[in-house]
Amino acid sequence: MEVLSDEELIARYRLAPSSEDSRQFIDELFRRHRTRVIGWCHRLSGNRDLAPDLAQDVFIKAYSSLHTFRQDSRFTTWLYVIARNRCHDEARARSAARREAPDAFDPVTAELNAALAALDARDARTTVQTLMKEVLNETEQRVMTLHYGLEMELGAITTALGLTNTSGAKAFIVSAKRKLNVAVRRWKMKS
Amino acid sequence: MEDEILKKALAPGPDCLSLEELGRYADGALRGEQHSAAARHIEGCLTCQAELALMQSMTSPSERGAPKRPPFLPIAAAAAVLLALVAAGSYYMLLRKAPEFPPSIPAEGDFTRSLTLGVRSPLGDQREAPHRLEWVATDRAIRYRVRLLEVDRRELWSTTTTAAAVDIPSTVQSSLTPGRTFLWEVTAYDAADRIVSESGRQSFRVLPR
Repeated sequence: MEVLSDEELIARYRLAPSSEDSRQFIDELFRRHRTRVIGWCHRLSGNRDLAPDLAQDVFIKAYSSLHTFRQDSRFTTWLYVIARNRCHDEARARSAARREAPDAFDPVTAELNAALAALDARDARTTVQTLMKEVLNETEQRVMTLHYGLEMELGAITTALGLTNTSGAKAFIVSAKRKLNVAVRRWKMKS
Repeated sequence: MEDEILKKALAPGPDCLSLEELGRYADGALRGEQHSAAARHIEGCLTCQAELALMQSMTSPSERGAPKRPPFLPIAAAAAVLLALVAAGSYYMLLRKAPEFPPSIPAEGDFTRSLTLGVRSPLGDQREAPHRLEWVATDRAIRYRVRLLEVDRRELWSTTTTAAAVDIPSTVQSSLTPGRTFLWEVTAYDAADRIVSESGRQSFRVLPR
């Protein structure tokens, strides 16, 4: 059983999905990915305690959706997509439930917002991304995009990217905003 | 409304690839114009770049960059597998009842082997003091313990990370003086805090100027 690839296990399961014996193929498939999925959920949620529960949800979803798995990509990737979606949903739900009080007034953010507000909405995407590529390093770009674009919490980004500095992703947000402030000011003067 | 513009500028746009499409791109399953169009979009889009990088760091850290493999299991091969299995006499399986769900998730005690963790750099002679330690990510590892040592095994610096690389702080880097040999080692741990792989002691030397 252990010598079979993930995709071979699925192929055998699909031969007789309603067979009780076919369950051994699914059990083996999920057994070999269990620790990996818990690790993903930990990194994507930034919450070690929540990870096993999220992983269980991922396996339930994977089981019920197995018929949609197209064998043109790896099972691991397909499973990751389910985990990513589950952790994203969880982050959004927690964020909505918390409705955290806004941070104390931050002059850097306020200045950047004022500068960005002048952009035409249609051009904002292109302009902001272009400026980010010009003035931010790769980690700053990733942290900003994961946080603002993909709605990941700062703690989760710190864990997911393996950031080892003291304040994690937050420090990269602050430095990125300072750099963007300068870049937006320069861009406005030019245009 | 705070940061609303940043959110709009960085959220997935109508042209962005879905997670599933990014997965197929990462696995080399897109072909021809589909692949070219995806590559062109990703090259210019920070949102897709971030999502793809996150995916690759989780699923195949050692295969970052453009996908290299052909589609994982071509249709013909899949058909052959199915035919072979049927011919092999799996008919009896058809007669059994449907499995109940949720499937049993086995205990973590199944994973006990500690494997060798491959290292990338630095190894051997270095022109300059290295600023980064890199190794090959290990399946099931969720964190790595990294130690940098003097040749007498005295610890210079250590840290824990979830990535397959870590930057050496500048204060530590400045102590990696030319003409001396240093050791480093990485230990990978899984979600249950068990060791899944170890690099053993590696060495490098900063060449004298």
